[in-house]
Amino acid sequence: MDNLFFILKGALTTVEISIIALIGGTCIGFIMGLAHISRIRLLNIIAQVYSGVFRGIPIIIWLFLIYFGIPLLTDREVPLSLSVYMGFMLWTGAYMGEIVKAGIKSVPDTQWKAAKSLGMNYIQQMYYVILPQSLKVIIPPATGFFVGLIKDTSAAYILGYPELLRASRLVMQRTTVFFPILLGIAGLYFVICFPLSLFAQRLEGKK
Amino acid sequence: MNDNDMVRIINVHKYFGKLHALKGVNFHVDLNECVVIVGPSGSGKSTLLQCLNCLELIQEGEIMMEDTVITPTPTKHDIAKVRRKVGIVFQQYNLFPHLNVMRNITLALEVVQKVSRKEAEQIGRNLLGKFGLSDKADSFPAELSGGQQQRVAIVRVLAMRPKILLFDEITSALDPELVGEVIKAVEQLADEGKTMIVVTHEMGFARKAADRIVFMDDGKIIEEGTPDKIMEYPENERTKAFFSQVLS
Repeated sequence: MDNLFFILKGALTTVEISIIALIGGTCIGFIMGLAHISRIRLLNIIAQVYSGVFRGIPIIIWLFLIYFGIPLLTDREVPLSLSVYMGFMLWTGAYMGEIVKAGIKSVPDTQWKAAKSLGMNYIQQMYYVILPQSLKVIIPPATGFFVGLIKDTSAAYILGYPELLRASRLVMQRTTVFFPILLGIAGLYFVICFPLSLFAQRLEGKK
Repeated sequence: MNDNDMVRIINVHKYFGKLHALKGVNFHVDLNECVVIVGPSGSGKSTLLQCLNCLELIQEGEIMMEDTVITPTPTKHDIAKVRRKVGIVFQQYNLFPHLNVMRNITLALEVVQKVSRKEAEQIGRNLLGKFGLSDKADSFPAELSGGQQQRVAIVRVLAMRPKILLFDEITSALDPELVGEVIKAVEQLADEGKTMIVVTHEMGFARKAADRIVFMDDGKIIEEGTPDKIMEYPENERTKAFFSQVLS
């Protein structure tokens, strides 16, 4: 059935947004995390403002702001997919920044002192000593966030982006079949998210 | 103060915000000397040690580590020079928990001193053998007792061949029965004539191994002298009070 494939393509799009947002957002998150813990006051402020602003406003609003707001300000159109990717990436980056900050802060002070005393420079301290240890504290909540992210990509529905919810709504309107499809996509979200959330729980427990 | 000074501290003041942690400290350590610093908590002993390798910066005064001068505004070059000459072991969390013992020892050798992996591991094996830890090379820190961890921390620092050793209460966080093995290791180094500054509460060690004991309180050096003199015949009231409490 064409409709079924259409819905499944929507599910793939959902996963696609999530992965792109996760990868881009994690990169932004690491940079923000380093900015959070930096001794340069300006970097601290930038990180705090970025974090506060992107976590304090619902993702749906951000999608609107980017897709409709940027053209208003700069007179240039933003492609829909770019708006969606950018929105989720920047949003993820704010949350990942906090997670990375907490991860780095969880490493005992003496580890920094020992690495410094042995003569390592900042990059060596980070790469060989601090970041490997902070990963243990970063990965569990990051995985949990990723599970939430997959569900939150449904917000892109509001811009008409063909992720799972949007695709299903279109099929519902075309075929006037509502409830079974709704149950179906709930099931699809569950199938994607549940194994991940179990995995995240295991990681949290292992700590 | 003389030409044999390895460490010379001149009128050093250190502040943590409003807190005046070091109030005009004057101090020196000669080559091959083992100096023990004692004193109550908060007297500035650890702070002083951490100023010696620029983990903390001073606000006034001068520190000379061999021929390198540390001012309140040291250059990156000076800091790197000083850290090459100095090895420090802390009270706890010295070792890198995600690396095994051998990697803990060889990491800085390879990454900082650019020693080859083979040579680094040879140095590591020799030192581990010297301190009776040969069989622990592949173990991870969490698998070792506190005493073994501290001894590995000593090995790691020795592998870098520093001129001056700093020990900051390295047995204070250990269970009593593990203190002995670490003290023995430090005594061995003192016997070998290593230049060292040891902050400790272990009075037995101080009496036995120290060439000189320095008593610090409230950010200042109150008194110093040979173990016998300062422990048996202290001149200052505060020194008397401290030792009578600690030696009872």
